[in-house]
Amino acid sequence: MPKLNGISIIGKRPTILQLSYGVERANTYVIEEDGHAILIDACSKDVAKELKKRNLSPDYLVLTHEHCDHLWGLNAIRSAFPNVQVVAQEYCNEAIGDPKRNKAKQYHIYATMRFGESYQNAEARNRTYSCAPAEIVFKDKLKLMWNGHEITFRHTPGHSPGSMLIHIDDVGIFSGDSILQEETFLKFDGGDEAAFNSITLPIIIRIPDETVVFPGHGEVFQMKEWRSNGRIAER
Amino acid sequence: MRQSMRFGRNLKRENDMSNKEKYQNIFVNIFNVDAKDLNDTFNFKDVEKWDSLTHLTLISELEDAFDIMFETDDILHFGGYVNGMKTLARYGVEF
Repeated sequence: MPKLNGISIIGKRPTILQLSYGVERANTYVIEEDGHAILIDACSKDVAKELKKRNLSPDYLVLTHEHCDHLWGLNAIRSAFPNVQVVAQEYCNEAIGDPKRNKAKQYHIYATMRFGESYQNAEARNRTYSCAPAEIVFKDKLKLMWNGHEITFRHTPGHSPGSMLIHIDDVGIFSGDSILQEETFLKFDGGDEAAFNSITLPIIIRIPDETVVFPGHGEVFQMKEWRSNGRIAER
Repeated sequence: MRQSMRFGRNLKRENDMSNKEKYQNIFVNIFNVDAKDLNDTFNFKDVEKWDSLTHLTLISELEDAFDIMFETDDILHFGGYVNGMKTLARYGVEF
């Protein structure tokens, strides 16, 4: 199993747990308030155990995109919590059922090349990993109410065809791999720089400076930090 | 009947392909080269198109074609056409 690097607790209401796994520091977020919970991504089978430990049963599990490092725990979570409703963008929903499109077929190769011999994740050697379709699927935009919060999901292609941003009012944005502290990677098979520039970047540049971003990898940051690294100027 | 015979002949041709031909075809398709270019000088350091993305594709295609899963060391050090066959031989692939 990948090592759980850390559990960070952010904010007071709702509480956000950042569960960070492996050398790639893939993040699953647990947003909890008044006994209700939402998951953002499912990066390890161990997420289900962490939820049980905390006596939490998620209402929704949102997939930021279809890459397997954000899906390894989806099947285990569904087994442990059969009533959870999975939310996915339309392309993501189709791709999670295909080990080639969700990258499970070659993830161990990519991760070994990227992280070298330090890469140890037995889950990533499951080249046939696939998941059943989501319960809630959208194409461009969707709004949901959860425990009094408005949640907006927006399709943001570029890093992958099925990527999305999730905005929870008063909380911030869960960005998957669409916004990271390092530059968004667009060169995977399925990556699309033209779509990123025409559809996703116009959305990103409108995000206010003070907005907290909860990325798919690495630490939480504010949009003003992302801007100060000059990525918008470079484009 | 005719259609299934055509399909049957194509399937037979693929099954009859030797491991050497399968291996060679993968390199030809990924690097867009002629088979005659594939020799002991065709390696990671000397082939411009052999970057991390083509390397990922190459390893993935080889795993698929020969139904194997490379160990970490072999993923990282699979660096040439000729030496690659020696690596595959350790996984039971006969050339």
